[in-house]
Amino acid sequence: MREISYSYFLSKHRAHKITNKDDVDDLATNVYIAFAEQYHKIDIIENWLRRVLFLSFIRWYKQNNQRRTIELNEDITADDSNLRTDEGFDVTAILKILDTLSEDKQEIVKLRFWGDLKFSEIAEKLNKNEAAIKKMFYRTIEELKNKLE
Amino acid sequence: MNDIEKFIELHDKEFITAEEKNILDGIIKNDPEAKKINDVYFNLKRSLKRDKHIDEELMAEYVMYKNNLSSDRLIILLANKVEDHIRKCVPCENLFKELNTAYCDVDSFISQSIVEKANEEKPSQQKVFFLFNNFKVAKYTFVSLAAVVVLYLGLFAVSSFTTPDYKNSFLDGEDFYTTRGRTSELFQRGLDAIDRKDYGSAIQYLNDDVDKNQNDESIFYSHFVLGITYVNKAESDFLGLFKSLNKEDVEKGISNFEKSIALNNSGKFDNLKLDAHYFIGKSYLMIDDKTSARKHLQLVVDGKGSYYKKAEDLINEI
Repeated sequence: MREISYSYFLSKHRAHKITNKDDVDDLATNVYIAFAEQYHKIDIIENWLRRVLFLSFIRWYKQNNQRRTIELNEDITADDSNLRTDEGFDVTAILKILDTLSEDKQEIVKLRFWGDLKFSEIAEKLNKNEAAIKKMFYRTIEELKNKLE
Repeated sequence: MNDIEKFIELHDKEFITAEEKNILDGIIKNDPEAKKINDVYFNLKRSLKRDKHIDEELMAEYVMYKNNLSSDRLIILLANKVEDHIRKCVPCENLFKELNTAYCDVDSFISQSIVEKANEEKPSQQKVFFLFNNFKVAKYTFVSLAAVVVLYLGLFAVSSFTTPDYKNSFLDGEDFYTTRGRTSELFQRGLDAIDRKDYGSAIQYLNDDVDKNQNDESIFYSHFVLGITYVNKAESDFLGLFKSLNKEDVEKGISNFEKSIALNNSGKFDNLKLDAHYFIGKSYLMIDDKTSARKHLQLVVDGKGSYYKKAEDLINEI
């Protein structure tokens, strides 16, 4: 498993998509750890590996994509600009912890932010009560905060 | 509703009044817990949300959905929204294409890995031969070694004098593949074998890659590297002296460089064509066909290829 992952990320390094060779080791190790954690619930190993290699690379790509950071700064809304966050806050850690939450919680957070859906729209899509969706969203943020501490 | 819920609800509003803003600011300044919630909320939003564009991870999910790898409810719920956005947004359409290419690379890589059974390399057995049983043996050994060194130096001088510079090394330190953009596993295994100077295995992997993926757009890279590998394999010498070549391997190398040129017809990698001409020129020099060599090297000079200067030097040398 690690050999295949390493070989894949090494090919990305050779193609200059991943510039730092240490990242190749880290990414391959992360895939191996994910496999160790999830092997008991993997149905088709090839598909699992396709998904994990692809998403690992994309998440790495996202974190290292300066262009998107610039666009992000342009995208900060007036409301956001009022909010000051801790400079040392680890964004990667939040996403890793988000991955460990129940599918329902991840779904609501992602529909809210990825899909930019209102709570009423999420409730409609998931066929649930809006108040219940809001409550679960609040609890998810609180759970993330507690797990980060 | 508790304070945290109120706080997040205010946070989540599209527009807030000046009064609500003051309330938020006050909570953040005075309540450490609220400050932490603020940080989590804001950073989560920053990690997942793009106001004008599709987040990369969402696009990745969409790419997997389009490639029949994902049937998660989440992406099914958002697929229409993503599609609508891609139709209107050029950067996101480009992102989709870019990530789709990345996914195809993974797909092809995994397919090859599953089909290809790894040929485990047997560790080389190193044996120690040298034992001195007594001083007399050591003395004769030393004298013999000294004679061999003197003989070698003499032969080296003769060899250097009789072998032209351009025949001394085919690659001459050129970094020929680190910029190549092919990611199939067989191709990568071929490169690894070249790193180990195991040219026989490299040729096998690369030929398998060519056989199994002959319709790939980037297959010309495999022909290019095969060309390099055949010529490297062709080189042999006696104790590093009196270089000789297997002409058949050099010709196979040239044939692969020519295939690389013929298949590289997208117009995007013309520089690689000139690189192939450079190596064809060098290969012809190895087998003393100076006319053909000059013709290909001149193409590199005329096209201002990346080996332009070296090609010019070689033309002057021959």
